[in-house]
Amino acid sequence: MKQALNPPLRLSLRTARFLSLLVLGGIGIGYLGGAVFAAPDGTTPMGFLGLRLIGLFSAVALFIEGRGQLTQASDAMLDERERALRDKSYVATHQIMIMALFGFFLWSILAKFIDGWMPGREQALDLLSGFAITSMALPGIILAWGERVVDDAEDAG
Amino acid sequence: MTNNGTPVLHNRLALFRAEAGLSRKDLAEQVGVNPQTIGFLERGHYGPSLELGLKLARVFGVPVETLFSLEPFTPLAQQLIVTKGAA
Repeated sequence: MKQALNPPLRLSLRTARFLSLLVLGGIGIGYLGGAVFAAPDGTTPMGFLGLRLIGLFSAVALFIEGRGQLTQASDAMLDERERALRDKSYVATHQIMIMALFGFFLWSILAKFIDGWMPGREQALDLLSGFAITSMALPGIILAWGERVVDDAEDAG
Repeated sequence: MTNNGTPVLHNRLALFRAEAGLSRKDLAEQVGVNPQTIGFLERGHYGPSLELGLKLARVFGVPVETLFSLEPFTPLAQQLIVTKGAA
């Protein structure tokens, strides 16, 4: 561990978990709901735009926060436990994103047979944006939910 | 005893650290890890690599199996009673 990790923002575990729910809710409902319930002219209802903004700002906060920075850090900045955590979070992120892509792929086949909903070009771009933002925030979210609750004072000893 | 399919590694790190009068930060600096990692090790929430295990044993000047074991350690009080009885 040659260099120290010095994130610009440090949040408590509870705050990080709360933000992660805002990201998943805001991005998930904001982008998916906005795409499904788009007006006939393609415009997204304001409520969904608001949810997207909440999700986006929460994702940025999680990204620059300590756990998000840990997932971006180079090997030299982390010890072996932190490297293992970082790697696990990326494996889990990869699995979740593959499942989401595969799920959408299956839906795109099924939708042809049942005449189900498929996004237009605008909605597809929106969904892609939501997917990208979620994948950016997911490693930090996974770390926040995988972390054990520890008494900070005990750890400082 | 297993934790998610992997054997639990028992350790006496907290005991040795307290006896040596080292803080977690001091010990972490000596073995090149984050102080939080020492806490995780002491609570048994993380099993160290062989390299880290050996480094920790070197700090206390003991063999690595004195610090870590796959079997639970006998409580110190019980060990003292046995030692006193044998003497």
